[in-house]
Amino acid sequence: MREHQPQESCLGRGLSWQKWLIIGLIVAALHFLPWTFPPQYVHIMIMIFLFTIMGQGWNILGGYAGQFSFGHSLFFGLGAYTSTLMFVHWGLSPWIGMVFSCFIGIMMGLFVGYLSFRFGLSGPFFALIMLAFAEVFHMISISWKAVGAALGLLIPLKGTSIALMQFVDKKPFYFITLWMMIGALYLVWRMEKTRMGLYFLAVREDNDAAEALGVNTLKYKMVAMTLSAGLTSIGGTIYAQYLLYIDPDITFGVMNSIEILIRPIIGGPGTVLGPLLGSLVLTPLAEFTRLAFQSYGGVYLMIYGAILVGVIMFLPDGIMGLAKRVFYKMRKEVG
Amino acid sequence: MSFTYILQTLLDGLLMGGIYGLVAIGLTLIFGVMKVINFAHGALMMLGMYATYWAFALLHIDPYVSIVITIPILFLVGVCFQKFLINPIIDAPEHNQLLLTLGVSLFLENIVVFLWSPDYRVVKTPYEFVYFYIGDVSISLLRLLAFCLAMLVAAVVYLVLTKTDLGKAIRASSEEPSGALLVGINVRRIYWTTFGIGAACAGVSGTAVAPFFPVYPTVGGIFVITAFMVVVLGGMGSVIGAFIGGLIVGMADSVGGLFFPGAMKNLLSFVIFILILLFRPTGLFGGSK
Amino acid sequence: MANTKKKRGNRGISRRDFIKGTAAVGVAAAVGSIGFPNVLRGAAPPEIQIGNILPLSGPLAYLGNQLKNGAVMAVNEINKAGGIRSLGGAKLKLLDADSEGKADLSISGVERLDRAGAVAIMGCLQSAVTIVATQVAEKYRVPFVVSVAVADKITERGFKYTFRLQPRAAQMAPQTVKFISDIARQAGEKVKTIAYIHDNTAFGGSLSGLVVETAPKYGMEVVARVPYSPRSADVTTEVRKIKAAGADIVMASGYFSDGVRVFRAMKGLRVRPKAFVGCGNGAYSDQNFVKELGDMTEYVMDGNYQANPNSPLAQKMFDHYQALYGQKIPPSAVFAYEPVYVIADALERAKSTDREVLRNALARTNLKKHVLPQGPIVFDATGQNKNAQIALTQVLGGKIRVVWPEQYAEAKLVFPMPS
Repeated sequence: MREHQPQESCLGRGLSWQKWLIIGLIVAALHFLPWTFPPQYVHIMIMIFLFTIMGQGWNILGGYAGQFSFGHSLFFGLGAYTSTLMFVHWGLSPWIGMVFSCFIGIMMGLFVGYLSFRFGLSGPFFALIMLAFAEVFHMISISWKAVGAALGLLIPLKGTSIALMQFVDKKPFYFITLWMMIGALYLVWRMEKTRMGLYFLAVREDNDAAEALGVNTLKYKMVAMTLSAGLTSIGGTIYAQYLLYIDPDITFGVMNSIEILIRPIIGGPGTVLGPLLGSLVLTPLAEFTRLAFQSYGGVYLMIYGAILVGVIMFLPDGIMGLAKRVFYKMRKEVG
Repeated sequence: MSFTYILQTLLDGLLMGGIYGLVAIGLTLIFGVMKVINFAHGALMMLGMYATYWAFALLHIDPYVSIVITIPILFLVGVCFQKFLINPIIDAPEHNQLLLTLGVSLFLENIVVFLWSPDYRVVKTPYEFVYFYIGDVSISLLRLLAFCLAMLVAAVVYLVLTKTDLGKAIRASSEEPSGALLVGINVRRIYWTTFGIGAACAGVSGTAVAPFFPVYPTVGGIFVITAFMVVVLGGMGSVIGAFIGGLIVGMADSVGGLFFPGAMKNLLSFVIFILILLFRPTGLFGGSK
Repeated sequence: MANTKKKRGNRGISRRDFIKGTAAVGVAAAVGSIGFPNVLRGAAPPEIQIGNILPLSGPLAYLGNQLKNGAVMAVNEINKAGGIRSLGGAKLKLLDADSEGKADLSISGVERLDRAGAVAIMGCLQSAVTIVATQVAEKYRVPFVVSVAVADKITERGFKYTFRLQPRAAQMAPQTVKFISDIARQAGEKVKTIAYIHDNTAFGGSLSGLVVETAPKYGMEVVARVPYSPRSADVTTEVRKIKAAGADIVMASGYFSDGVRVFRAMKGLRVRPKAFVGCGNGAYSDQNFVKELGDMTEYVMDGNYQANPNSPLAQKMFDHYQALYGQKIPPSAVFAYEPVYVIADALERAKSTDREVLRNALARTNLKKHVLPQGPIVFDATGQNKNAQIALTQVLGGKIRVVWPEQYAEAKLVFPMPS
């Protein structure tokens, strides 16, 4: 009979060595994947990793701190455009550009966050104001010649170059996004157990009560926003370098905000693995239905909609919620 | 920029604003009574547009006449939507309801893409190029009709709310659901009825614009964001606020078009929206009906 | 002939000889099937795949499918005529990739086509999409023959694998302006001002910018330049600005459905110039434009890529398309049709399906047998069809006719528009 294992989300307890081993094995296996799978699958994995990173960004603000943003494409777009413009105009390496992207994203997050939270916007109003800001930037990027207007920006082809974050082969991007995703997951996993993480939960559960108990809800919402915006902006840079092309729609579009938030929602808001699980379900779904229904571009969106409705109605805690319930049920039976 | 030009611009904005107002009335009703933010409202309007288009293309029914079809269909859709999808989660956190309606919106828009293709469709009426002229200022008959239709429906809804028993029941359910229950009002029934009315309003606005707007699956997207802005501006739950808010946003868009090129013309409305959200989230006529 | 036969014994061919002979034949067959694939593999020679990236769904599906029709027709004609003779009669096969009108989808489209072994890719109708797709094709070294896309940038990046058949913006816009000036002079009319309404993508943006630059050379000036978003359903505000400009000529660039919408609005708001002249307008050269809007389209002109109506080869193409699809081939489809022939011609000369060899053959193209109103098809160092020429069409009696330059004209033009 196995001795009692500590629960994962208890404060101060770590994972058992068995769990670390399993994680290690999975990560190692993932390293072999690009050589055993054809390029289109590697592409799907890259997309999964990338959207997990950005979904995790959203998750910090939405899942943990309870502030649902419907406009995260704002940060994605700012990140993508910042590093791209810096490269196109000044030849600045996208690695450095990424730092600026993160910075600009955070600045914007602080700006919008302060405006919203200071004025007490929450719930759907906050969702809408984020949407409004994203749309404003969408409009600006369509109209402003200096950033390419509706044509967008093409990153000049320079062949494979680490310094310029450009690779003809997909494998380098696979590893970059893989490790960033692992980083993002680790970050959130550690954050869960900190005081800050607990305060996020307090704000989410009952903002007024938390305030009454002395928690500086404004400050913590801003911190959550900072982490959230920064992570998402970085995703924007990577995406731009991968695609070598950005335009107003694929960056600031409403659909992009939806793609970012739907993954943690379906996977399990407020959980470490939520965005990953959501991505694992939705990304391959989108890619395969797109191929299967070539001329019916919207089929995967229809499925997104149906899944979203289903999850909200029957699985409000997402896949993780279901997994936890099953897990606990199993443990109860085991003894 | 001549005086006529400015006058023309304001007039265009006013006419379009009436439509925004009608769309927003549906939305504000739903929010006022059930505190549900219906992201799928644009999709409902889109369904109204398609119903009008098909009635026109297949049965050759004049679009304005087809509201007798659109209203019941959309009412029914609204009722089903509320009963089967929203009601079960009525006690869930607000953002869940928002996400649910978002999911429905995605589903509706794309099932239409699947069924009827994303091609733009046009409803061509024989009187589509009729314009009235006051001096050099032109008024499109179609837009005028749309405006009148919007005003008519708005007036009807307002009268229902203020003068009928149903209206009183609706207002009671929104202000004090438990009190309403105690007085014997079937609040559940009021909920789906109100949703039906809201959906019907969206449907009628679809019918109103179909003669001069192309019909395509994602057309609702433009309107839903505008509708939210109008509702917030006018005050959630206020029918008068929604209509007046619509007029204001319509004119802001039009005036915005004078100063900002192309896609930026909505900038003015967005700025107003953001300001209202920050400084007066209850809107101009906030709270009351 | 030297006596090469071995001395035979009474038993005829010895077993050893037989085995040697068979082995020799076997080796020859093996070598042959590598070196001469079509001769010794027997049966049908392998198909040569050509990719075609187009918006087959989405708002531009109408135009996209017309282009597809044009390409399909060309492929069928070539195959019926015997395929690529220098490659043993190998047949062409078209591989579609739907861009849905989105540039990012064209990226995966090119990658898929590359993996499927396409020897060349055509596409994409939209400048924005083409700019992206050609870059990916360059990355993977796949020859890309741009069928329809006007932005100059496409051939200005020093790419080696991009070729373009249709006139580019820097040819289209100035030629249209010159034509306007020519016809004004011929009619004895004074034309000084132009108001230009255009879509805000690379397509409309590049054309209108060039018109603004070129107009002064002909004593004209663009007094209003109004962009609109092709996705915006309501263009009244933009059209009002055009009306307010009161210019002699109203020019317009856009794709089909927005072109139709804008024109309707202009007519509805009583915009009354001496002429409506499209520049590369996706609607004005399309018979369906006339069909949808009827009489009001009379006298509308378009400076656009066209087929040469006086060429017998083009006439055959018109007849074939009419028979297959029940309508006159729109110019966009012409430019999806001709690239297939250009690629086929290059394959004939390349005698190989190797992409490098094909690319070099394309670069050396000098095709005189074609349906376009121009001299031979020759690509310059940037990959652009050097001699590309537009023509001016006009809607006359409900039919779209080429009216200028006179050597290609099939009807007499009417200018200015009678009021």
